[in-house]
Amino acid sequence: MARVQLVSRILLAATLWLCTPLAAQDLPTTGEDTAAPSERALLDRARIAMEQGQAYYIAGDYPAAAEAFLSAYAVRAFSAFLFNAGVAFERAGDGPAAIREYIRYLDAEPRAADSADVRQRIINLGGTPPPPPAGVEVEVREEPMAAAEEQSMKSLVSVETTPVGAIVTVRRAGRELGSGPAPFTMALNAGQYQVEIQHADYEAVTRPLNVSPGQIYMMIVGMGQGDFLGLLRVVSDPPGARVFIDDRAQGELGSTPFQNPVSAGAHHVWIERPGFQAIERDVEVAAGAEVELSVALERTREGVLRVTGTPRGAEVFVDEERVGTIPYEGALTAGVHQLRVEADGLKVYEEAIEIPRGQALPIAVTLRETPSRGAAWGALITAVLFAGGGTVAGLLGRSLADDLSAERAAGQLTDEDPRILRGKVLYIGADIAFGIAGVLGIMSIIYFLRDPTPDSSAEIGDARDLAFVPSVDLARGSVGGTLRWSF
Amino acid sequence: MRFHALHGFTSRATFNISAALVAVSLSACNPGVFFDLMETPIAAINATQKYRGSDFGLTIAGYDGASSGGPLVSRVVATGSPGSSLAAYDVWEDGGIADFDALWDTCDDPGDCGASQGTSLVGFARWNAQTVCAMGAAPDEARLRVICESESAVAVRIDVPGGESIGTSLAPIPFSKVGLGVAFAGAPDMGDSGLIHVVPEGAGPQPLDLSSAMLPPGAGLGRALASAELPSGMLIAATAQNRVVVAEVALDRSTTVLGCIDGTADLFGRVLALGDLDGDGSHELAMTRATNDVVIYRVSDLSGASGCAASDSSDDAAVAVTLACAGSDRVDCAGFGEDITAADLDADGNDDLIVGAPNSTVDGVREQGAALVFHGAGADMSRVHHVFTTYGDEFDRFGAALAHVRTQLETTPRDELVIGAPGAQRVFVALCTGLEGDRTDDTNRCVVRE
Repeated sequence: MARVQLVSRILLAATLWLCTPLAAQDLPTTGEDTAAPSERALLDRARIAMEQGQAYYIAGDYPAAAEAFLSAYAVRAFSAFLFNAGVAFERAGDGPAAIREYIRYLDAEPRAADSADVRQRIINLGGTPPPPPAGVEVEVREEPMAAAEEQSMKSLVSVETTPVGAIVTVRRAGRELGSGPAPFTMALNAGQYQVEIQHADYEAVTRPLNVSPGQIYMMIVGMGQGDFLGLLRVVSDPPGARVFIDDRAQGELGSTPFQNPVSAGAHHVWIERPGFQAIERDVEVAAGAEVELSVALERTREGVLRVTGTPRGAEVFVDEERVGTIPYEGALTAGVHQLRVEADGLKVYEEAIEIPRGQALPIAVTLRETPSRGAAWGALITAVLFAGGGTVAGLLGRSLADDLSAERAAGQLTDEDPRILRGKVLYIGADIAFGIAGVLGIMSIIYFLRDPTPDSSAEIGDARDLAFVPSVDLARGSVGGTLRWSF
Repeated sequence: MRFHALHGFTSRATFNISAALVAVSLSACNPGVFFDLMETPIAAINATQKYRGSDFGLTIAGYDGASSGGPLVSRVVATGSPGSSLAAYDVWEDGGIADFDALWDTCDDPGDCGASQGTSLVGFARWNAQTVCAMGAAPDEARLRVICESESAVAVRIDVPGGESIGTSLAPIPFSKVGLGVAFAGAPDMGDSGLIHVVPEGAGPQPLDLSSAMLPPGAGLGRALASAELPSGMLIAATAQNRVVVAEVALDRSTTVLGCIDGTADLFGRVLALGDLDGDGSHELAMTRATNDVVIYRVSDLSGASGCAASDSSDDAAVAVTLACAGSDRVDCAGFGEDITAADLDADGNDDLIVGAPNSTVDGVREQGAALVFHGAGADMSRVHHVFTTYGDEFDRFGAALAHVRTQLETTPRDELVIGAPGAQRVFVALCTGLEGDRTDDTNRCVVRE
């Protein structure tokens, strides 16, 4: 039952659009026609010019018709427009112009099925057709061209396929008129044709095409793959791993959980997710079968350290080795590392960090200024000066005290000896100086120890999973990808 | 959080370190050392703010007695150049060293200070009902003024008619001889050859009869005067021109001339001092014969009145000791003999002789001055036993005037040296100065001021 549903979904996916002439079809146009007209827009403009030419032609205004066809050719260089212009000039009696446009037609379509007829038209007009290209035999028409056929306009058919690149073959009465990879364009005369579309991985499509003169036909074909496909499902723990199948160079086909039809047979699958070890598996998918490949991803043994913050340019050391400057990003083996960030005049930030396996550890560091020690040195120097002054005063006082004591012992000291007052002043001065020196010394110690500014700090964020962010370099035309993580 | 912890640490450290620093600095530089040093053996007396005059300390005297309230006190009276006011200061009171405050200062009444006021000074214990008195002489006015107690008002003004020059010199009479009088006063211009008076308590001066000194007219006896107590009276020495007369004065004021010493120098006998310097129980006379020439005579060697017969020194007693002041690196002895006094400074029972050398350069300071002590009863009395100096300035002239004052009045009175330094406008009292053999205590002072 499941298989029946799977095949049904696949067949429904194969869609075919066989389009009527573009005049009856509502073709989409883009808003960027003036700047860079899309193929559809160009085709639409060519269609309008061709319809005008057809209208002039029917009305008998052949010169105007010829100009309209050339205008259409200027918009979109389909050889059918040259042929139609040649017919219009011929009907207008302008043989040289007709010969010129027929020759341009043959130049554009040297292998056209009707080249013999066009050559005959040139000869009939008194011109000389160009020689056929090497290896091309020009069939000689045995019977003269009917009048209706002489006056018939060529139409244009354009075939687009999904997938692109399918081989388009146009046949008439079993005879191949032209073939090429889609998108394919071909000028046709009015009549019944068969269009065949083939692709190695898809079911061939054949559709009839009834061409009226002077029309543009757009055929868009979505090809189906039939019931020879199987379904491959890939799941991983954790999910989000990129899935590559068979050809890794073609790029990822999706991410887990992933499921996609694959052709029946053996396939090689890559499952990759940033921060995890890549896994490769071979699977066999039978036609119409559903195969699930389930894997458990194991993180890599490395992580990423990302250091941001201020100031930019601060040096980053990991395990005492300078690794860069802020902003810094680098891979490290998972585990504990010693991080140090430093800059001149700023407090060092140092911390033990643990790099997670297969994840990124974001750290925003803020280094703060080292406080000035000028006041501390000033207080210390002043304290030393006061201590020195106090010492000198103390020594002088001590010497004086000794002298006075000796004089007193000798009975020669008077109670109003001015040296006593001097000694008091010296000792009190010394004490005051020592006191001031002590206070200043303590102040200097405090100033040396005190740190009014906060320490350098950091915000260590939660470990983040890595992600692969594809990128396209338009300038270089290269395609790549970057490991990133989101915050 | 970290800072708070640090702050707590620093606060404790601050306290501990501060305490340590304070302890160390106070122990190393304790100003109390200098406050202790103020307890010096030499007290300085400055002129009072009321003092009018100059050269305070040029004339000084010490005296004591029982004040009106009964306690014993001693004082120093000092003045400057003639015409200056007198000022008295406490030395001993209430059984201890006083604070040397000024008690009084004369010249509040302009009439109290004549041109020659303060030429000489002497103190005594009582003047009638008043006690503890000082006498200042104004010889040009023939006037003596007595100021007692603590009042600056002049208690007694003694005018001596025809007594010009009385009080040119004064010498004390101890209270034990108050019956004789309170002081001797020299009047070199009175009489034919000058007179020595006794000033009785409560009365005018009475001249002494020293005619046996054989002084010629105009000799000017009384230019200098010294006195010493004898068991039966007083011993005096007085200077006349080229002669020093030594006599005993009995309590009835009768006199006996013991002898005369003659000289020719201008300064002969300018300064006299009497005392028992050698401890033999009799007195010696010390005198300045000339500049830097101080000698000592034994009174017992004087040959009675015969020594006054000749006008030269042929019949004089021999010089017992010639004082030598050879000088030293510190003191050069200039002005040696400017003043002398005899007092028992070391309280050994013998008087010591103190000689002023006010013009001495001391430790390179010109005329800072010094007072040199010659140890009484010493092995070699001529040798300088001790030198008093003070830390001073040039021209302090420490030692220009010498006197002594008694302390420990209630127990064993002892003499303290009083030294004038007129250049410094100061008087110093050397209290029990640590002389060899002195009685000292732990503070290196005999008497501790309270």
